[in-house]
Amino acid sequence: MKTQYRFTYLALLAVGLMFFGIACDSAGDNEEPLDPMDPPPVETFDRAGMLDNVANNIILPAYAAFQESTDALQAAVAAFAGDPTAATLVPAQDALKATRMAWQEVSMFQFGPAESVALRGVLNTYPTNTTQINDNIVAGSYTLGSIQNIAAGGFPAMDYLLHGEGLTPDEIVAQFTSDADASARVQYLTDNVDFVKSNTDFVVQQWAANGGNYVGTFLSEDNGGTDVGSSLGQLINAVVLHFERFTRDGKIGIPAGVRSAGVPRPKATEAFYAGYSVELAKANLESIGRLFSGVTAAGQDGLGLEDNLDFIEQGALADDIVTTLQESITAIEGLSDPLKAQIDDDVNKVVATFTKMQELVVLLKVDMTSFLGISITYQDTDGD
Amino acid sequence: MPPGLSGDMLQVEGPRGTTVSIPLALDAEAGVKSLTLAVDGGGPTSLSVTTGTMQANYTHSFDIPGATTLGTVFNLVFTLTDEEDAITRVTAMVTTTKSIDTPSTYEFSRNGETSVSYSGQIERLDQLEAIKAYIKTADGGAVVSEQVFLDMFANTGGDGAGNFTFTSTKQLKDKTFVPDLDAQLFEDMFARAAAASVDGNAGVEATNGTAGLIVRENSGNTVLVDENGREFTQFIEKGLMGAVLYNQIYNTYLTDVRIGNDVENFELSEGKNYTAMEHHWDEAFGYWDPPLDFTSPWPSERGSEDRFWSHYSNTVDNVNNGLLGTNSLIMTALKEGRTAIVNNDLAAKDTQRDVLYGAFELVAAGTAVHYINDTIGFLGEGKTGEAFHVLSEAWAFTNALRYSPQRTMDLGELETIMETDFGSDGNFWNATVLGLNTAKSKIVAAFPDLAPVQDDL
Repeated sequence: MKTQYRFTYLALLAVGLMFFGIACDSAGDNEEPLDPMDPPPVETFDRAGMLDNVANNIILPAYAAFQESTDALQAAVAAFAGDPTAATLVPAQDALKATRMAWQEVSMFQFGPAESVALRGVLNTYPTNTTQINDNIVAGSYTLGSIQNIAAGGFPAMDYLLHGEGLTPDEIVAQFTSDADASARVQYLTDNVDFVKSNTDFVVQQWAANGGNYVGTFLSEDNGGTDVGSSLGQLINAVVLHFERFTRDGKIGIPAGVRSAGVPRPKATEAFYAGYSVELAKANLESIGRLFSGVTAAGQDGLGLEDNLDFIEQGALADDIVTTLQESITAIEGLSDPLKAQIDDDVNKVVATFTKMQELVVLLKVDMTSFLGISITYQDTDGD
Repeated sequence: MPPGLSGDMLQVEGPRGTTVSIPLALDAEAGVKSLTLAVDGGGPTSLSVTTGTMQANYTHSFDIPGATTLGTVFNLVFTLTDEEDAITRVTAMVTTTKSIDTPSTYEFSRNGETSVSYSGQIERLDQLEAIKAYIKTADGGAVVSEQVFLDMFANTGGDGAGNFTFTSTKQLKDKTFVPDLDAQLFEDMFARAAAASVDGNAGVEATNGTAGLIVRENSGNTVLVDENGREFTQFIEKGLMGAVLYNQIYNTYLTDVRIGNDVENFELSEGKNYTAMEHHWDEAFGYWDPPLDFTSPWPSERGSEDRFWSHYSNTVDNVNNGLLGTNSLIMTALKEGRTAIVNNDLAAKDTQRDVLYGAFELVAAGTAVHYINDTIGFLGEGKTGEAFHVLSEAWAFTNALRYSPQRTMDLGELETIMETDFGSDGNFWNATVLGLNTAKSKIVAAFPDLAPVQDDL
């Protein structure tokens, strides 16, 4: 223990000295005109290069993969809708899972085009409202994406439709064939796929350089700083908010009951009916981890937030984040699917995972942002 | 040596209501016989001079009339006749200048005392605060009474029938936009809120077609909404901000009836330290009720000093460092307009009035877009309770665009936004992101100043 204290003390001292050095440098830069005799200006981090890597090598490929998966989902659901059998059901279920996995790679990019269509909310609000879904099917008239139906559409609704609660494949198929509302249910499923697809296509089109060219806006010099409206500011706000509210809380904490006085809510798991919520959570956290390190889905390492922190001599924080990310992933790996069963079985393990992820919130939201000069603009409370 | 009466042109200036001195050197070798003055081509009047002198200094005092408008020039022609009936003339041009320069804060005085008063407006804003506080109890599940609302609205008995903690001779109802009164818009809302509060009190959860309580996900607090998901607190509070506060600014105090060129702007109102025109302008200011040194950007630690409309101006004033600057825009116009009135600069007063008609609407439009963005944001988080709340705000701020006689968007356009784009059939449960974005683009198109900050708001 004694050694550890000493180490901490030395580390703090080192950080303090380093700050002193930085402060002197920047004061000199600001106040005095450039003189040929002056040492060359302090090298700055290649933020533009980092944003370029994030946009072109991470975000755009992730959206492309997600879009492809929605195409495949549309095809698989069309095959099932045209001939609902156990044989066509499984590919539809698999395609839904593949799409939901691909979604984990883009869901945290809720800014710009995705924000403008409320993508995360309209595609993936859960727990899904089965009463509303069934009412819609019976009514045969509904607007997907309306406030009324925000929890009755998208992936969680398809999760319910294609898996059901405790149904055999034949029983699921029967709902689309012999049930009184079978054809309306087929229609509802198809409408949902089309809805997912049209929203996805819009966002992809808006990002594309040859479309809405949001990538151009994102990489423009105007947005290259660290102020509130900057691309880095938007990216970090979106990702940290997503991690806090949708990865930590939505996927783990809320089902474990941390927002309901410790009373678990197993139905609030992301893939309640299909039962692969843990897998989705793991994928989401891994993609956040890759984004932090600047690593592409294919494993190619480029500039990321980690490099930015390293560059400004915050390697210890960067390491801390990487370690805590890995520990969080390990904690998630220690949970078994279906998450509902895990909660029923041993909810403490789920709560412990939430607690581990909470450490990451502090590191990302407080420490990382302060060193990078980014303001967190989203709030946890209401104005009035 | 002052100029003599040798055909010189004298330039003199002073503010209205003051006396200026015009120094003349009388020079007549044959001796002065008479001196006359003709003002602006009028008949000459004799001035009292010592006759027979060959040289004398003479100072004429000229009173610039108090009702003179800024920049008015008086031509004073002095004619000197000597004993041999030789005539010399000099013209003095008296230009009316400003009495004051624009002050840095909204503070104006006369004879050492403030000339600004808007206590009646403050009393009405206090009444609106009380009404808002009362309807908010229904958000928490309390039963509210239609009669209490009616008494507060009409200020029955001078204390809202005991529902105000203060007394006042003013009321909100008699200042409400007349077509809204004709339609019993607010009375109807009070009755529906009271009825819904009974359901809210019984724990009824709002659903499509049923009024009741909705949980706001962020705070866990509930709000009372009607059968179409519309939050009573927002509709009543922000509704009255439009129907009373903006209506009074737009349709009363900025109109020619109150601040037109014929309104008294010299004689003080009886027993007061202001002219009628000054006071009317101040009353418009009072309905906005900002801190006297309000500006852009406004320090967050002083965020509690603004109120109702000035509060929402500050909400959209400086978003994500994108400066819309409504605080300064409006404050500058109010200060310059009031200064122009003191200076009797009628053209400048009218110019600032036009600025205000645009700027007050910009606040409402910007705030509407702000809440549309919030609604889309909450939908992105799947938070429908929060979405109902902010969509109610968006509706009410869009509604406030109805009240100006110089309204930027026409009533039909506004109706479509409020009753279709914010959810078909006037039902928020039907609201979609597509509709919200449609509404947003319509408002931004009508108010181009919003375009650069539309996504930051």
